[in-house]
Amino acid sequence: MKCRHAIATLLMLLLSMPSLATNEKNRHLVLVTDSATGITALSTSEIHKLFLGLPIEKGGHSLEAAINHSDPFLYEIFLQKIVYMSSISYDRHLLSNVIQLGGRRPQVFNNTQSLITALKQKPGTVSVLWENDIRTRSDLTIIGEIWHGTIE
Amino acid sequence: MKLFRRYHAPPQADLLRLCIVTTALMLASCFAVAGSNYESEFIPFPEVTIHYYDRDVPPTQQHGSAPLVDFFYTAKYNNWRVLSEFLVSSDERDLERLIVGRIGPNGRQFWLGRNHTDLDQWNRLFHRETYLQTTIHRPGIIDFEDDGGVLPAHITGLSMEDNKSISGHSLNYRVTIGLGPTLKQQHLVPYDLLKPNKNSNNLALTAIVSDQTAGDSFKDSGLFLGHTIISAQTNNILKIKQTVLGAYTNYNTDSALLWRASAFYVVDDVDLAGGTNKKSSFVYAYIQPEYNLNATWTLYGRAEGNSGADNDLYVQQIPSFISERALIGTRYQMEDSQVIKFELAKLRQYGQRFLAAEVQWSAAFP
Repeated sequence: MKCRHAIATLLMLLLSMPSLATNEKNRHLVLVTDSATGITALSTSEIHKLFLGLPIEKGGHSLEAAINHSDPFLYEIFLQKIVYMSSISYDRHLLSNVIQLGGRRPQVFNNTQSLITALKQKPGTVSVLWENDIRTRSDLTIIGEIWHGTIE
Repeated sequence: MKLFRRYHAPPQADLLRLCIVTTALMLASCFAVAGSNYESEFIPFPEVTIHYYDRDVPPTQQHGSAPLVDFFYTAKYNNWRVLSEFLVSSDERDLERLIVGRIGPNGRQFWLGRNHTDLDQWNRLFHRETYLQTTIHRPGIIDFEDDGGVLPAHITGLSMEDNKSISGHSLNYRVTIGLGPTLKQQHLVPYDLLKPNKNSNNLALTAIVSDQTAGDSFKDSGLFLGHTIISAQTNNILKIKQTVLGAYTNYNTDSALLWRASAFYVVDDVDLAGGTNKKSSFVYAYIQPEYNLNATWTLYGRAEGNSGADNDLYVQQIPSFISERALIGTRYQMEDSQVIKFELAKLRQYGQRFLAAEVQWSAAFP
């Protein structure tokens, strides 16, 4: 009886190990747009310019940046890997840009679902998202990877 | 420094201007509903500056406060853009900028209307928005016309701008041709879109070529030139043919320290009523280091001065021109687009040297 109990405990421990492992998630931060645009990739320079608010045209579409503010960690990576500025400097830069060139500053989204809806509604809109948030969606396409790593 | 003059604009003229601009904005908003590709932004930039001078320097006030709001509006329809700025202060209501333009798919831009000139970097980077500036005031030579600037800050005409990317660098150029300012009542007066044909404005040309790198560090340097024929109605002066040559640089080696510097060589050829002519030239330069202690606090300083400006007959007509200044200050940026600046300066204006202490709150809403 004691042996069976020990085996059951061991089995439970073994079964619980994968769930412990998933606490350390392997994440991919990707650049996403609507599949209908036909855009497959953007160069580093194009990505940088786009999120600095400069006009970019690709595949017959005038591209527009949308800022994902739904996750502070995601936004921090975005600032470090794409615009190379602090949050305050980036806001100041976008303001400076709009008084020079006119138009509108990139829209900011605090919710992933509303960001995905905006990507669908306005072809040519580009944003950054966690890959697992759009993995099942064939109507959105990944046009670049910004960062990958593990998050505890 | 005009902010502190003892002067008030006629209220009827202000009201008319305000009505025209409000109507234009309302029409633009109607257009917004009609077009799905239409996007717009309306950003008020309010500011309040409180100053204290160590002596009375007429016609300024020794101490006081100056509230001001710059209403910025922009609209975009496909590749077309409209930009406008309307300034309201205690002594001024003015349509600062109104331009219509097209930005092509390759980045080439065409603009038509009243815009800021291409001289130096301040117009391009900050326009009228002191919130975006690190310092409270612009360098004296490129101050706005009614604040004592001796170079044209506004030009009404056509601009063309283009850029070319070459191995991590962006080479930009911009050329503007249009109507420049006139010299009246001890300061320059730019062409007024809301009161056209009242001044005999002559042609002006400004151009700039710049090279920018962006990435881990930022470098932006350029050469600029301008040629303006300024008609005058003062002290037997008929007109001034002004030529400006200059260079600027913004240079940061790391994210904390930024250097801004410019140098100007100005030639003023003054035609006098008796058929005589007086030609003189001067050099003006400034250097402005800015040190970011962290994301919110910036320490800064600026030294600006000239050689030969005192002997320039044209410059002598503009006593509000700040010919020398040394300042130190700090800028505190708050999260919600508000800024507080503290500045101490030693300057020369209206023929006097004095000390100035100033505090400014500025913001961008929303």
